[in-house]
Amino acid sequence: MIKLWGIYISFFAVGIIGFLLILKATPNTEKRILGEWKEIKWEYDKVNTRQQTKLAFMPEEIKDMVGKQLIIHEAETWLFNPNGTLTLFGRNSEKTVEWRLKGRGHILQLKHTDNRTEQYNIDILNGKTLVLNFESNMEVRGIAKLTFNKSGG
Amino acid sequence: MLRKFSNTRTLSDNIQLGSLTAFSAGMANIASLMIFLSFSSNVTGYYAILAAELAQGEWYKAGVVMGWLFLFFTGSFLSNFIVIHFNRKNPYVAHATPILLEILCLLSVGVYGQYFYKETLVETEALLALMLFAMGLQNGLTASISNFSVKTTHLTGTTTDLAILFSMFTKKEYRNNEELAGKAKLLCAILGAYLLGAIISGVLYLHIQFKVFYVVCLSLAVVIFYDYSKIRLKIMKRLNMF
Repeated sequence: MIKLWGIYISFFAVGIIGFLLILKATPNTEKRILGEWKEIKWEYDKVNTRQQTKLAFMPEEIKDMVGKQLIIHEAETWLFNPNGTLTLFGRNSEKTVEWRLKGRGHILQLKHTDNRTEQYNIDILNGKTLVLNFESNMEVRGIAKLTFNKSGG
Repeated sequence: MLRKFSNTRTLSDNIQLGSLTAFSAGMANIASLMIFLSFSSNVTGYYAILAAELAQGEWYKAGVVMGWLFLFFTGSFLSNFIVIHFNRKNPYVAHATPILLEILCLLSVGVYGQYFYKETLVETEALLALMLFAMGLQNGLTASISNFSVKTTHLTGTTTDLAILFSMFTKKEYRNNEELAGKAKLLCAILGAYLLGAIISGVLYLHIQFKVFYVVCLSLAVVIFYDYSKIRLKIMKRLNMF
C-alpha cells in the first residue's frame, strides 16, 4: 500500500516539477519578441477572390486594401518595448500602441489608444524571424502573412 | 443532484446535474476564450497542439500545454479520489467538495482578473492552468457519480453519442426503448445548457468582463445548495414525524 502511494505521489511530483523546469529552462515568447523587427514582406494566402490565386507577394494595392483599417498600416519597423508598448515606425509616421501576448503565447494582441484591438497569430518566432498571420474579412478575405527580420542588434 | 451515486441515480438527477454543470462549463469556456484567447477545456485540441509544438521545437509552448493537460488530469483524478474515498462516510460532502474546489478556482480567476491582472503571459498561462484544473474537477465529478454518463466540459463525445442515438432512432425498436430515449434527452439537455451558458457568458463578458466568473460560481453554488436544501428538508420532515 505504501509502495502504491509512493508511485502516485512521485507521478504527480515529477509532473509538477517537470512542468516548472521546462518553463524555467526555456525563454518565453514575451522575452523573445522584444526588440526591433523590420518588415520584409506581406504574403496573402487562401484569397477568396474570383481567381482563388495564391500570391507569393502581396501587390501594393491589395496590401493597402487589407491594411488600411489596421493599426499596423504603413508601419515598416516594429519596436517591442519591455514596458508593454509597441512603437510602429513608418516612412513618415510613428505611433505607439500596447502589445500583449495571449493564449500560450501564440497570439499577439495590439491595443490602440481608442481601445480598438487586433489579434495576430504568431506563426514563427526565433532569433532572426518573426512571422505573423492575420485573418482579413474586410474588402479582401483570406489570411495575410507578415514576415519580419530582427534588426538593431 | 449530488446525493446519489452511480446506478442509483435517476434520469432526472442526471439531467439536472448535467444541465447545470454544462451551463457553467459553457460560461467558463467562452469567458476564457474571450479574455485569454484560449479554451479552458478543449483537451483533444490541446493534445493536437502539443504534438504540433513539439514537432516545431517550441519547447516553452509545448511545456505550457503539457502543464495544462496535466492539470486537467489532476483535477479529474482528485475529483474521483475524493468521491471514492469519502462516499461511504457522507455522499453529499464527497460529491460537493470537488464542486466547492471548482468554485474556489474560478472565484480566484475572477478576483485576480478583476483586481490584479496585468495581462502578462505568465499570468495568462497560470489563470488558464487554474481553469483547466477546475474543468478537470467538474468533468471528473460528473462522470464519476453518473456512472460515466454525464460529461459536461467538452462536447465531442456528447455530439458523437447524440448522432449515434439519432441514427438508431430510424429503427422503431430503438425509438421505443425508454433507456435510449432518456439518454438522448440527457445529451440534448447538456448540449442546450452548454450553448446557452456560452451565449450568456459571451454577452455578459462585454459588459462585466472578469465578473462573469462570479456568475459561473453562482450557477455552481446552485448545484451545491439545491441538494443541501433537500437534505435539510428531509431531516426536518423526519424530526416532525417523531
